[in-house]
Amino acid sequence: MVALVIAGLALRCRIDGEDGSRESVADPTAANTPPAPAMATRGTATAPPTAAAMARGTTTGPGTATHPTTATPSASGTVAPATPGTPAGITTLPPPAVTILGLDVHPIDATGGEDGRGNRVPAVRPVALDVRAEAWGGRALDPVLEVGDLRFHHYSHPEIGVLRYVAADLEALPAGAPVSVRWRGDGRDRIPVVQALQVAP
Amino acid sequence: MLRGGCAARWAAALLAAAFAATACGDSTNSPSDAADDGAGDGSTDARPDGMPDADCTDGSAGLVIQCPEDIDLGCVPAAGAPAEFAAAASSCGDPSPDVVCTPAAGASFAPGDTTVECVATASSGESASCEFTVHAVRDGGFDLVCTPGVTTACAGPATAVDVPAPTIDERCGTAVGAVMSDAPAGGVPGGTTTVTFSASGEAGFSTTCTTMVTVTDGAPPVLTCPPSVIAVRTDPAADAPAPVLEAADACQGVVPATASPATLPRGTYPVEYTATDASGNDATCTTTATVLDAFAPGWPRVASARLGSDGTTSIVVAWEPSTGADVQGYRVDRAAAPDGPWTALGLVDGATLVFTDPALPGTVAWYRVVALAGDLDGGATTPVRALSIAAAQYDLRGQSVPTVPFSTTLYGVVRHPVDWGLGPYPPVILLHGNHGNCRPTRTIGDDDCAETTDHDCHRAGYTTTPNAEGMAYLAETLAAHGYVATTISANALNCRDDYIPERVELILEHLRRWRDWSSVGGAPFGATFVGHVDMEHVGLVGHSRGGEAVALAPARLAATPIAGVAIGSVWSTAPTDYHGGSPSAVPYAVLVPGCDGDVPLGHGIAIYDRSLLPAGQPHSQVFFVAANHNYFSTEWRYDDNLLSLTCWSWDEIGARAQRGMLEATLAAWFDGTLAPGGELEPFLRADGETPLGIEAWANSDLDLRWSHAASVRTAIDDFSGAGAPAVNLLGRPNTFSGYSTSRSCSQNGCDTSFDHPHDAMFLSWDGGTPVASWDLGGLDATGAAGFSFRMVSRRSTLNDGIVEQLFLVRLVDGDGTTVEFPLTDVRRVPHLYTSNDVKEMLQTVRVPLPALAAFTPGFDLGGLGRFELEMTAAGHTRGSVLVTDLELAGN
Repeated sequence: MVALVIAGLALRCRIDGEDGSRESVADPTAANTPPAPAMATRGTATAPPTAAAMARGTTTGPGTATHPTTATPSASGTVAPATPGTPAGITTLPPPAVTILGLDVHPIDATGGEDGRGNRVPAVRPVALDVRAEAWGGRALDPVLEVGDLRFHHYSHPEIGVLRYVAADLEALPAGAPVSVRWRGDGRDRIPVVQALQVAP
Repeated sequence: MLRGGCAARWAAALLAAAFAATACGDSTNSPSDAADDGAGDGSTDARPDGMPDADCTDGSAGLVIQCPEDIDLGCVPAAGAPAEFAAAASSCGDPSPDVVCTPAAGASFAPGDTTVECVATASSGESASCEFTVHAVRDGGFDLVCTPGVTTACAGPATAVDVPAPTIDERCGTAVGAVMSDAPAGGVPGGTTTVTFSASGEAGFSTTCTTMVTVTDGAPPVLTCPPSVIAVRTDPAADAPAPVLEAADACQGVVPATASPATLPRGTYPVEYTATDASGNDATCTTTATVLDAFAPGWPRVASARLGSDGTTSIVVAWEPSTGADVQGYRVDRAAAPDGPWTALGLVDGATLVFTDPALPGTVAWYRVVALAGDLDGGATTPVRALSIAAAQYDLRGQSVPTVPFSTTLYGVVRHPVDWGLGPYPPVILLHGNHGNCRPTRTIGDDDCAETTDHDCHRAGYTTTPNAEGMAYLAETLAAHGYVATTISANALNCRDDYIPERVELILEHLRRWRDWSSVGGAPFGATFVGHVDMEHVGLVGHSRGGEAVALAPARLAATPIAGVAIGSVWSTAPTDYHGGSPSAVPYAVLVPGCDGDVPLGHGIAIYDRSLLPAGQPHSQVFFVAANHNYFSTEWRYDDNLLSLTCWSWDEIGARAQRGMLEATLAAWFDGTLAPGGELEPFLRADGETPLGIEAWANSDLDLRWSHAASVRTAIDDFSGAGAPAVNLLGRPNTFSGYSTSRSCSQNGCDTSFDHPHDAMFLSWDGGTPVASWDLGGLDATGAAGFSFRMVSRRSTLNDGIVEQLFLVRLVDGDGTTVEFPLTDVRRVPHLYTSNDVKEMLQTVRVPLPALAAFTPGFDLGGLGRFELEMTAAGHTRGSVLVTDLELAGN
């Protein structure tokens, strides 16, 4: 299992000389995070959950709010506050984890592919880069394959658990480069695939 | 009757005339005036020649006229008979004034009573008049002669009175049949009652006479005040009427009592009651009246609706709390029509703002909420309608969709009102986002991606992910509001690279089918929907990639029109923004979740900011603090804010709150933009707080930060002009004095946390008295609903320690009349929000101009001089904000 890499939880970067004042960018985790006792009242977790804990599903959802409750009528016509009607679909299932199983690089019959620099180009020695995982769920953002400095954007799911990109030329792939998948442009959700790309001749 | 101010001395005329009038200006007289000369001594005077004696001592003309006594012509033909008479008149300056009688002497007088009026006019122009009666009986007729009046003491609410029968004067003919009376059969009530007798003669002759029956009441009513009384004030703008008391009267029965004071504000007061019967007898008593405030609750809404497996529709009604200080609870009533009759469904306490009706009877129901002060009814809400809903579905295989390179499925889950008679209803298409389309049959694990060309997952060990059904809860609430809502499947387009333009085409293809089903019918619905769906007012709702697709759809429909189909309103939830859509041509709203772990916040913001121009349609953006991406679908079961990617997980508001907010807010948005005659609720246009009823249904305090651009607006400054920031869009100068930083900027040029593709004014201050001023050059704001601007408290250490921005907002009219108020009087601008990825989200501050003008005498909306923000006046010596989009706004 490869845990997600969380970066930049505590940003604090000065903007020196921006306006000659004593201004700098505030630290949101310092300025906005409630104190620990307050956190404890929001749910059963008493501290930020660890990745392992989240993966095991040991935390609960948001705490119980104190708002007025829904009421439903009794047979007598007089009602007392009752348990709110629950919109369907609320779940306490544990969050999923992406379990990378490996990377397969193999020739593929294709007329074109990506060059890793933002272009679709005619195929030279086209290869499929199949990132295998236990499963790939769909997300709003498209996944991007990072191979060293190259970026591959166009993908398919030929079968469950396979995320496939097509490189136009095997020779252009940087052997030994780290391979990862990310969705967000800031890379906060980057998942390492392999530490070094193995390219068979 | 003598009219006028001068004295007149009356003489006893030698002529037959018995009464006269004098002229001081014009005057008239009647027989009842005859005996007095006006001198107060009861005497009358006459001249030696027998003419009336005018008083010439007071300098007036002294014109007097005397009419003859009433004339009885006796029996006359039906055509009448002539009468001869003369009226006498004299004057100080004119011994022979002109006298004209109408009808004139010698004229023919018909049977019956004819009033003759004589008018004397002196040479001076003054005039006087008198009257007399000419009576005649038709040949063959007769006279009824009634007793003029009868008086007796009351013997109860109705008194038996022996009213004398009239006598019959048959000098010209005889009566036929009995004399009839309209005297009340059950007795005569107190006071005076006119009893009319009538009789008939030969040849159709009939006549009447009357007797005035007076039943006297010598005893006052019996009025007893209780020790105290209670009244309920239902309208904060008006005092309450004092409670009603009644007195018992021996003659009248019940006599209502009047209270003094008649109306009362909240509190306890002595009140005197008086009851007066018809004879003028009265009784009084005093008691203590207590007035309780139980004003009508506000803004009832159908916050949610669910279609049960047994076909019943459950309805959640939410409302705003009464502002009455004495409200202890609410009663929810239901009726089949908006004007009742009402049936009480149940009681809730004063802190409860939602009520669930588990089964709506019939096809339509109306609900109202009544405020209760103890067991007394206070004010009631206006009724709100809820429709019973039904389900339908279609699953068309092998369909062609433009640009989609394979045959695919058109799959829709439909929720619609049962009662077609209240339609036609606008259709709403809902589209989910990109998500796994195969659900593992094992108990744990998210939905997985597999490419499919139809709706289904075909992999062993998996079932099809019900992505469309994930938005059915929204469809059901919308259907209860009066929409035909269809949540469609894009399973075949999921798990593919982009495929957002193809989603747009999928939406349009569904609209083509709905156009047919609503006009000519067809499989699988036959004629079910024919004539019941208003395709000229289509609503679109999308989530995630679906949210981007619906934002792109209006432009695509404009490029490839579908006859008879028009998009009327669009809502995006957490949309992606890969294709630069700008839904400016339709009413558009976008929800941006503050804890979205899937889509960066900038995506939804960018669509909104692009949609602002050109103006012409209302646009809203709501930044929903603590909401994640996935929980707006009931089928996206896992938290995308995995491992606190964007927010601390324990700060998330949760699925129930997200869905409760969305279904109530979405329905309000479409009711305001899509329904006939709709108007946006204040909170949807950044002009009011989040309704507490929605928060109650969401079971959370909702932190919603709205931006709104009205359909009608006058841009004042968005810092995009050539002269910015020194010159605004009106071509007038701006000044920014006392700031440590004051510069216009855009996106990252403002700072890295400003994700808006938009220009803004960067204002920082650290001491001093900074003032930002926009010259408005006499801008006419007459008719504008608000002066609005967008602002955000920056992620800056200058804002350390504050929870919200506080400063003064000032408007100055052309002659210098100023209105000034703290920002918090109109809107709270909180400082940022809890997140690991803070972005500076603009929100609208809207100043209600009509209210300002109403409370500021002399303030002229017709010529605004300038608008100012004064930063430190409210106590913050340091701070930093971004400001933009200053404008005059309509609703």
